[in-house]
Amino acid sequence: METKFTVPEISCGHCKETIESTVGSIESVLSVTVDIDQKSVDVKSTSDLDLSLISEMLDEQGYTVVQPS
Amino acid sequence: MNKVTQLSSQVKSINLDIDGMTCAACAARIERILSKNENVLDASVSFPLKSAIVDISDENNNLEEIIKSVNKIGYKAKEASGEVEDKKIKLKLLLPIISLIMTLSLKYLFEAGYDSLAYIVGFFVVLYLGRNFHISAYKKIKSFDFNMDTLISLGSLSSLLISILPAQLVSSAGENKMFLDTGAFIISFLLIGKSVEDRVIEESVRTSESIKSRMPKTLIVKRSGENIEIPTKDVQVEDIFTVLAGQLIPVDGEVIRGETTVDESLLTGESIPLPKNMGDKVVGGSINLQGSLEVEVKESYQKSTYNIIEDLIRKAQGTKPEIQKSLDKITQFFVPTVLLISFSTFLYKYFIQDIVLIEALKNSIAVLVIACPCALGLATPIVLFKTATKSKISGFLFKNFDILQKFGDINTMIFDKTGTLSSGIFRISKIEMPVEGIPEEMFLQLVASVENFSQHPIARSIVYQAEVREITLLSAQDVKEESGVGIEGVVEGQHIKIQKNDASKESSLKITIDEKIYIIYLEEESAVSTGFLGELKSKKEIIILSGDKQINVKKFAENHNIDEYHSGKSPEEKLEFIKNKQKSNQVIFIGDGINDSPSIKQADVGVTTSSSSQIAQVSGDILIHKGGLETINKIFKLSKKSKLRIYQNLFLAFIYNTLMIPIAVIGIITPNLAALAMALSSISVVINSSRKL
Repeated sequence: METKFTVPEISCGHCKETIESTVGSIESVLSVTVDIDQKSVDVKSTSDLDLSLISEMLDEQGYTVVQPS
Repeated sequence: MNKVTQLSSQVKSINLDIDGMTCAACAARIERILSKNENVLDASVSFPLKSAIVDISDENNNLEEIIKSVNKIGYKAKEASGEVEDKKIKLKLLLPIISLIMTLSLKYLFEAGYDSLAYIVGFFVVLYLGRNFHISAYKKIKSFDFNMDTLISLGSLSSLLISILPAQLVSSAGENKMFLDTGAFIISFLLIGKSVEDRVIEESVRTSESIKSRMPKTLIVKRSGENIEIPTKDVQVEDIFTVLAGQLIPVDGEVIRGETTVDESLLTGESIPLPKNMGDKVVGGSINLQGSLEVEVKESYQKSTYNIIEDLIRKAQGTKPEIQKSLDKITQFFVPTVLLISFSTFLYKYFIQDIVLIEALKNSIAVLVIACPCALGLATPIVLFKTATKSKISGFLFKNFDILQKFGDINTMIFDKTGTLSSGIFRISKIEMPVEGIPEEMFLQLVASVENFSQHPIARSIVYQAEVREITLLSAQDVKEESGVGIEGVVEGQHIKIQKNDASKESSLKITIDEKIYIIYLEEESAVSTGFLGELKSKKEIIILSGDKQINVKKFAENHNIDEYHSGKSPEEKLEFIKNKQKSNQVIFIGDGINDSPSIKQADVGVTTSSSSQIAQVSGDILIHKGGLETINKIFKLSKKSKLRIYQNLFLAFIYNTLMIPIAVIGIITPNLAALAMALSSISVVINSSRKL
């Protein structure tokens, strides 16, 4: 399974690290790739991910999740 | 979230020290987290100062919870008290000196035979005093990322390691001991560089924050007839407050009693005192110079000019010039490359040239340290900070710094006319009177009395002209205004009808009084001096792009000696025009920011000239809020200077590396000297940045 979304606040390695570890802590997640330039996050997982859960987790870290249109 | 505070509650401001921020975006993120807390009324995080000011309601003082929320997202926050702060600054300056003295003592300790003590001192310097470098490097390496600290940490730690290897292993009779001071020197010199850097940053930030500290935190307002003291940020529309002579006006408002002159220099750099009378707007941050004033609040605190400016500057700090973005990418590759060169140097020296192990190691460590482009990270932030401060007092603001580099390439300047080049104020150029009409003075009195009910710029201009001629306005009845058509009303029994005069190509009004027709011809006043555009024309292509009638635009262009002008353009047509122009040119568009918003966004650089009351809504990269259009020259000058300063810094940052790497590879330079060169490179960049812009 692959989930893609954008986080407009991404700006440096610090953000990358935080998002990777936060999303990576979800059990079914296999890998998280953050592209700083594109401000995009690509998550590979074994099952379908609940984007609202991710959104909530990242919100606690000060980030907002924008779904691709 | 509901943030309305009880009036009775007291606000407490706490200062936090925050560690771990790496960029302005971190500061913004912490601010978001802090603002989510219900007890936080206001939070302002400063990246350069590595601190935050948080206003919390005193009743439920839960500082710990606030600190925890910051720590939870990966930063380290703690409360800063003034005394501790002072001590900390002193210690920060003292630390590199102590470190250097300890390092210098190593040689004598070894000579005197106190080897164990020397090792304790050396380890203390490298591991403890230099811990921040190692922590940062470790954090990066964990995610296969490298930064300057990777090189510093590796260089100093490997020196430390070599110094404790058994002498036989490095085939030198105790010579490897001296590697201890190499590691310590690296740390000491870089600590010196860092301390100079911190000090300069702190000073530039403190200067710009001095207004903030002078703004009154609380004020007494009259609300429903009662006087109450409230935190300044809780003022509401219709609150009335008094400002005595010599006091700072805390928020924007309208004078309802008293007259005075104000000094707005703290805010805009305009040092000429401005007169303020009843009905005039005053801006928060200006100083009341003479009489006592009563001011009514017209907008919320957040919309106060001072706050909007601060907010815009803070947001601009979060943006980076293109060059910095490319540099960030270069660094990603630079560090691993240096590691590779350093390692290859070692392999080549030891295995191929067959020199002694200790010399080969010395060489490779020197390469590691000398190659560290520490100063690279310092090349832009201080310059941008100074640019922002300087622009603020010169009457304009950069909304983002991405455009800084585009400035040099701009070859076409496109101006909107109405409200930008021309003032929006109309002057009566001629009145056509009918035979046996009423006298001109009386005619103007009747017309102005009706126009007084309209907000149209032409109507306002006619009322203004009547006032200038000291004509008293009369009361009008049955006034009806139809947008786009005209206005009519009855004054002293006479029916007056004012319409747009479609028969003429010029700006003119057709007025009917007692079935007699009068025509008023109008001319819009220019907002720039005649020489201004001519001067720009010698450097750039100048185009006027206007929605106004052809005859008005033509007249204006001819007066200002401009050859290319386009009239009657809708906002969409303007946008299209700019898009086409951009195919071959780099375009700067200067417009009023609200109607011309699409064009301003489309242009390579968009400049807006809105009055301060509209700052919040306008788009554009640069915003002129004081001094009119002629500020453009200042913008060009400052952008050029600030861009040049950044390039100089890059040169200073790279020159040491590029010159020294080959020298280090050959083995002429020792690691100690390499560390000194690095510290010098950082210091020279910082000093160059802090020079006056």
